[in-house]
Parts: sequence; structure tokens; C-alpha cells
Amino acid sequence: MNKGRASALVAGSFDAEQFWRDPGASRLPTMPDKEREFIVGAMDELLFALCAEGDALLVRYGLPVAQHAYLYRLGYRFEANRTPLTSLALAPSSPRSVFALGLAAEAAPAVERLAPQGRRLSAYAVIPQLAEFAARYGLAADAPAYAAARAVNSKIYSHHLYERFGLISPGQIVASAEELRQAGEQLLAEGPFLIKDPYGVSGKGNLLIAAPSLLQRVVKHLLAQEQQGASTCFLLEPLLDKQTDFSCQFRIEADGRWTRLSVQRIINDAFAYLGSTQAEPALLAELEQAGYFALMERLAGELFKDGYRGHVCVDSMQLADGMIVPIVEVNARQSMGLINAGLDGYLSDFGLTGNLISLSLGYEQRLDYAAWLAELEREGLLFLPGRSSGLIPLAANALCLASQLAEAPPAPAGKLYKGRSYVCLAARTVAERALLLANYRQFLHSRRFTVYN
Amino acid sequence: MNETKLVLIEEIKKVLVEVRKNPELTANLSASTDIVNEIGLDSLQMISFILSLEDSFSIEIDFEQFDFDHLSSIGKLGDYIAGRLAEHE
Repeated sequence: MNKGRASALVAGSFDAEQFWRDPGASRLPTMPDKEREFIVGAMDELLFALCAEGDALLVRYGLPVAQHAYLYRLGYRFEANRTPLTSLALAPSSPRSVFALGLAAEAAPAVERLAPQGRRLSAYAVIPQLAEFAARYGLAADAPAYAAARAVNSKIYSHHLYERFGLISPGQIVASAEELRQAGEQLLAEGPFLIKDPYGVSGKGNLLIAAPSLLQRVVKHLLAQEQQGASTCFLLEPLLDKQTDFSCQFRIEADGRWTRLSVQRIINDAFAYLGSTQAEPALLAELEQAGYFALMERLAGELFKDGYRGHVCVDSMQLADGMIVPIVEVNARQSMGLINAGLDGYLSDFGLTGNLISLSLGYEQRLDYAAWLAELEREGLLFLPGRSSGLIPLAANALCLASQLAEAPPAPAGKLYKGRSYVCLAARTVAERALLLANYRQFLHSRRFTVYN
Repeated sequence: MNETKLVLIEEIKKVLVEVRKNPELTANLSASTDIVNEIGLDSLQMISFILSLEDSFSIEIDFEQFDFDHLSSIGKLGDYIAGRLAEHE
């Protein structure tokens, strides 16, 4: 596990895009989703997959001892904070990043214990207060400037890359509600189209427009914000006949060299991320032949020229007619694909590969995570070294937190706790992983979980 | 249940099935179905659902102020929409 490098403090906030977004920009229609905020806040536990021996993991809500002990059984050796960084972190409306929380006096003892002077900071994304956090705790951050990271993560930047490469972008930019109306009407004449927020994320910030009435409604919604002083900027793209989503992970070193790390197929449920799985050799060969990787190398060069270095995940797709759309968006940060690649690295020692999936769940009773793990083990579903297949639960709080925050279980009449189960399906073959998922779904149904996806 | 309410409920069910892109869902929907807890729309599907309801019933819903209790059953949502339609009559 990466011998010879300084050990790292691994940390990050998975809702990086919300920090990059211009607060004065108009927003697409959105509805409050407190449960999603809780779950996204708890996703930082997934970063254990990027921890090497001797690293430390700083997580917003604290890593439950049962999960830490399970990961230890798997062979992961890292430290982690047990308790939430602050009691305020449990407030779902708290928009503060893990670094902002870590800077508070309340969290200092936990951070100082995990981050003795001289450690590196391995951050999921370059967000505000990362530099201040690193300086405060004497961590070597080696991160690009915040402004550069923010700029290259915009979908507008991704759009302009097509021009730089002499390619035609499938998208167009609109800078006002009126421009959206005009461009939208033209696009609708050909078919449905997507409105994308420059910093929209999977499942949030993209809107499919399939009818003139919907377009008019969104235009009206944006006009009202413009009248209050908001500026408008969106990317419009025709809804393409997509066959496959995939992503390419690479890293740009401090001297500009790029290292390709992995290619992952993305499994989506509508526009929301459902899972990742390593791309098969046939797809890699096809991409190589199509010049995709040469383009990724050029893209890495452009990012470096624009001041970015570090991890990158480029989302791409292949259309039903075989055409490759190489740049759907550039995510200049770590990613779910990278996490899945990390898990595959671990599983390769056992001759297995993994498939990272997330299931959205509803449940009635308070969930005890230790008991949950024990039950999975009793049922023979839990992966442990030496087993030829099994599922690896990746995050405890994303599943359990909602029920643990409620004071009086069971859930109020008629209400279900909401959680998300992130698991890696570890097995030798695609068929074995599919069977594992079917068994897991059956396990959930038999325990009266509602599975939403 | 009066005929107007039945029509509203059928229309809501149709919109839900379209948003979830799952025709098999039709058989599992009734007036008592809890849209939040049983269907589990994510935030994107929720906004698509509300927009589609606006379109289907020619009403306007304030996204930020919308009370999620209206989604605790298809029947309750039908009542809410009936109320909004009555405002326009």
C-alpha cells in the first residue's frame, strides 16, 4: 500500500459543487431535501477506500466502531474520529464543509490527534477553507488554487474545451431566462433537452424539458429570480440517445504528467448515480481506437495549463449509434469511480472485482449498525477475506444516521427513516455480482425495508 | 369519493408512473399510497413530478413553499389540487 510516502489525512465533503456555485446565480426549480443533505454529509466515510496503511480518515459524523472494526477485519489499517466533529454537524441545514467544521475549536482535539504535523492532506475536492485547514494543522496540502479548481469544475469550462480541441460541443450556453426561452423553443422543435446548472450534480441541478409548457414554467421561475438581481447561466444539451455512461479517472502530477487510473462504467437511475463498475477490456480497446485516451491526455494538459493538478474524473458517454461523446463534464476532484477503483485494487488480491452500488432505503425501526453487520454475516452475505464473494458495506451513517438522530424509535406513524446503503458487490463474475445483489434485495425486503431504486 | 376526485387521482397516478418511468408501478398505486415514503422520489424526480402536475392541471405550485404533507397520500394530493383548481374557478 504505497510504501515510502508520507501518511495522509483523508477528508472531504462530497457536496463540493455547492461550495463552487455562484450564490448570486439563478437556480432551476428545486425542492428542499433534508434527507439527501444528511446522506451526502455522511458519504465521506466512503473515502476509507483511498486510505493506505497508517493514514487517518476524518469524517463529519464520526466513524462507528462497528464499521471501523469490520474494515479492520478486511485488512484496512487507518485511524478515524469516532464522534461527530461538532454537535452542529448533525443539523441537516448545516452547509459547512468538513474543513470548516475541522477549524472550529470543538473539533481541534480530534483533528490534532489524527493529523500530527507533517502529514499530507488528501482532499476529495478543493473547496473553501481547505488551505486554511491545512495551514492550521501543519498539513502538506499540495492542492491547486481554489479559483483554478472552481473554474475547471464548471460545466461551462467543459463546454469550452470542445472549442479548444476543434470539436463541436453538443451543448450551448444561455445567459438569461429570455435566451433560455428562445434556444429552448428551437431545441424542443427537435426533441427533449436538458438544462444543466454549471455546478449541478447527479440527481440535482439538471432538468429535462420535454414540453413547451415546462419550458415556459422554468423561464418564468428564472425571470422572477433575475428581477431580484440574480444572474443566469446554464448549459443546454439535446437529450442524446445514450447507450452507455462511463468515466475516466486520472491524476495530474505537480509537474504536469498525467497518470491514467481507471475507466468505470456508470450505472444511472434516470439522472441519478446508482453505481460504478470497472470497464471491460472490449470497451477500453474501443476507446483506445477512437482516440479517447489521447484526448484525455490533451485534456489533462489543458487542466494543468489552467492551474489544476490532482485527481480528475471525466464523465463521458457512448450513444446508441456508437458515437463517443468524450466530455460530458469534467470533475476535477476525487470521485465515486476512483473509490470503486480503490476497492478493485483491494479485491484484486483475492482475484475478485467489485461493483459499487447505492440503494435508497426506507425503514420503520431504529437501525443498530453493529447488529446489521452481524445479520449480514449470519446470512452469509458479508464479504470477509477468504470468501469467494460477498458485499462490503461502505458507509454506516448514510444508512443509519436518520434513525439515530430521531429521539424516539419507532418512526412516527406513517413515516419511514430514509437512508442509503452503499455496498461493494465483490465476486469473480458479473453473474455472481448480479446474484449477490438479488440476494441483498431479498434480504432487505424480508426485513421490511422499502427499496426505492 | 366523487367522480372529480377519482379523475384527479387517476391523473396523478399517470404522472407518477411517467416520472418514475415504471409502468409496473400502476398496479401498486392507490388513493392511500404515500408518495414520499412508498414511491421514494428523489429530488430530481420530485421536481419533475411537481412540474408535470402543474402542466397536467394548469396550476402553479410554489416549489420552495410546497407542504410535503400534501404528498402523504395520492388522495391528499388530489384534495390539494382540487382546492387549487377551485381557486381558479
